[in-house]
Amino acid sequence: MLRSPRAAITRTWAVLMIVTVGSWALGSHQSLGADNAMAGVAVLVLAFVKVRLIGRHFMELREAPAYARRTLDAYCMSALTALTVMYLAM
Amino acid sequence: MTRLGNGVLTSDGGGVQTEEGPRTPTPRLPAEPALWGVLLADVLVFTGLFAIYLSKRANEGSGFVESQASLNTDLAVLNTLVLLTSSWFVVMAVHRFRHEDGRACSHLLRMAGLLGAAFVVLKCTEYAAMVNDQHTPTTNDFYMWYFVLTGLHLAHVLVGLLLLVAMDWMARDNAAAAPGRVLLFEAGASFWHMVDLLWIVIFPLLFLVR
Repeated sequence: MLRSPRAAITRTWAVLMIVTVGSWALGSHQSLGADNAMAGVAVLVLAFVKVRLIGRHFMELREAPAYARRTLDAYCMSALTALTVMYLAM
Repeated sequence: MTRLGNGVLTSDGGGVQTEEGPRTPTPRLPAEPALWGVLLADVLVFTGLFAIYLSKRANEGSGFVESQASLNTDLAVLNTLVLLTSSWFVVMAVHRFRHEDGRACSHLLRMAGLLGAAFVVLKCTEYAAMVNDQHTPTTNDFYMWYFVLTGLHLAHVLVGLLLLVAMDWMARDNAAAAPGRVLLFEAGASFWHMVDLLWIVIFPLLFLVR
């Protein structure tokens, strides 16, 4: 089990790499129809999960005051919601 | 920034070392607070562009999807992995800088810079292949947006690479001891992570979401 802060950063990096490859697989094998839209939404959700991981762990906002952490969370939620609604509007 | 009794700057987000017990985390925002305003503004401008791109996509429909199919997704995912790994090297470099280990910090920054340069080379290779296939910004709206979004991001990568060079100079001068230098170093690192963060959204929007 990795416990030191630097090991935790490496673990975050590994998760980011795995999610990236997962998104790629999901996005590259989209079919037409409703499943396609679901796959697109899933890819967007995974992208903002990665954004939050980068903000919290790489940019160290995890250890920042509450207002900074809340700003990151609010950005991720609002941007994801807006972009998903616009994507589904197609 | 907290300095421990032995003169070593805390590397893991600050904290207070007491004689009685373990360190308790103290909330701390890296770099100067004003920098975060600049980074947030930049991210919001890009998010606005993403929204406009999606609204154009909603209007154009199948034309966008057909053009999207011509993109080299394999190269894009490789670029994503390259940028993420570059960011990991920068995080590690910040840790070394705070510990005043300029030599190790410099090595880590050079690896980060090398990967950043690899991103630029891969992106230019992609641009060259697209132009060769007659896919230019004037071909249609999709390609126009593709070149605008990736071009603006590429400009950020180039600025980030310059900052990595400046950070490397600071590391080699062992400048962590100088007042304010850690904040300056963290500012450069935060910018590089923002560049990574922007690509994390551009990649699925342009390449994956069909």
